[in-house]
Amino acid sequence: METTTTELKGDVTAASDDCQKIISILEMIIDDEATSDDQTYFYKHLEECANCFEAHRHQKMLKDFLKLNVKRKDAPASLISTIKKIVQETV
Amino acid sequence: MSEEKANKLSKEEKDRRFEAELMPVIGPLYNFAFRLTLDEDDANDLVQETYLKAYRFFDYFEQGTNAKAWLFRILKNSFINDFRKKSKQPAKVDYNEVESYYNTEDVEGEGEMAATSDMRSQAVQELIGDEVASALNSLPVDFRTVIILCDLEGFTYEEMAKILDIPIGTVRSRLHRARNFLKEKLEKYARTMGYDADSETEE
Ligand SMILES: [Zn+2]
Repeated sequence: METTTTELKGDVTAASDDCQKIISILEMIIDDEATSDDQTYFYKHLEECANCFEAHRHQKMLKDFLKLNVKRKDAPASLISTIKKIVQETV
Repeated sequence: MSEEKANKLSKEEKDRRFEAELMPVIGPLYNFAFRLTLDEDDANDLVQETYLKAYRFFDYFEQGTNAKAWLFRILKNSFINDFRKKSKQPAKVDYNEVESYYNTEDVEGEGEMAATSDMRSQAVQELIGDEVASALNSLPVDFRTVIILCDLEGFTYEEMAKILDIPIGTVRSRLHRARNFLKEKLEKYARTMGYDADSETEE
């Protein structure tokens, strides 16, 4: 990022660069795909940034919500027996 | 454990292994097929076809490796090659809408539905389930797929990349877009369920 705008934005510029990185790895954190370095960096930032804390909470909520509320469609028993039968008859 | 080649198996032994290693995946596999086709008969056909292909190529399957990912991959290929053309797709999604939502993420409504948050009855739960399903079904199939693979089935990005034959970067961007779309659709239901309050959903 340009440093020439620092006067205008003050500390916010530095903070928002950090926040941008946090947001860019947010989903990897949620999906348990982030490196341990990233995790450390991430959770440390969350302790001092309410916005990112909220963003994380929100994103995790969505994942938990889906997991909990998308109903699974069960395979019919007839399908299972059909497959076993066909397989056994296959030479 | 002998190092004997799998293709020297007797039919009996092959069938036994096939059942033991692949049949337990039928639940998630059928669910995946149904979420892709949105039709019970098509899901039946797709799963059956998948297992027959898997049986035919079972000699190439390395015992003890990821049977679930292998079957999901076969099913997804069958879906693309044989089903996608003929099956009816849900209404097209306005991508501009999806994109513009991404830019206004921080628009937060007040908890106008907070009053209903104590209605945690079975009926409400079922209603929510239906709403979530229809929100999910309204996604383009590529987006729906990554949500199911990641959030429901718990596949890693790398496994998803292999199942879908796309780079990990594409997996990530599809997930991101799919989630932004769902967030918008589901926001009010999440609020109704009181998820907006401090809900402890630790695993
Ligand atoms: Zn931040």
